[in-house]
Amino acid sequence: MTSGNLEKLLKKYTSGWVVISSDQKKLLAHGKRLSDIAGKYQNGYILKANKNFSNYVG
Amino acid sequence: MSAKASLYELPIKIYYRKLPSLLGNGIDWPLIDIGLGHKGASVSPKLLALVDSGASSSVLDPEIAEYLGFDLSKLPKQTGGTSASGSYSFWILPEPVSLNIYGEVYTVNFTVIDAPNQMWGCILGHDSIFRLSKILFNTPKKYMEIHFRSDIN
Repeated sequence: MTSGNLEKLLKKYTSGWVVISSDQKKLLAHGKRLSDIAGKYQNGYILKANKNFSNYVG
Repeated sequence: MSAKASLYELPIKIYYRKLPSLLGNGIDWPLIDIGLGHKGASVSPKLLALVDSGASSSVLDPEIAEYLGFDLSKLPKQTGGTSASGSYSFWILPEPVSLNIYGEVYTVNFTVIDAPNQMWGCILGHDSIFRLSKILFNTPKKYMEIHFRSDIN
């Protein structure tokens, strides 16, 4: 399975939702709401955008 | 001696993904790509979900629940949820959601947390992926191995 360094790709997207390409090299879409980006691409990955992913404690 | 069937499928190795962090050097998280569906609605493309060994319940963002057709305004909101981040309100979805993980399809119950700044669209916890598989985290080498149970599906 592919590893992915998404840090640089996502750095400027601090809120909303993004779609990343399947090879994890391109950002395909960004939207404020999930409905802005969902259903528009067959391939890729959806993720919530966030300025800082290091402050989550599970 | 007779050969016993293995309790688990062959492992799937998944490398962590590096995401932005406050200090600028990134942070690695165990994420997997999943498909979600409910009564003809589905989220596409796939969603990156956090595999969280500290989560007893599996969690969806309110926007995902609504996209899958759940009307949260008609569901009772519960109070008294507790996490490391403090207390929260939540909804329990009245019907299970279809969860597709690398081609294996399961039905899973989700909790929806009412937190506007929730970081993850989906968290898979002990009542979903940890019930369906054995997971070995190798954080020093930044990957996890998922061994799905062979007695389900």
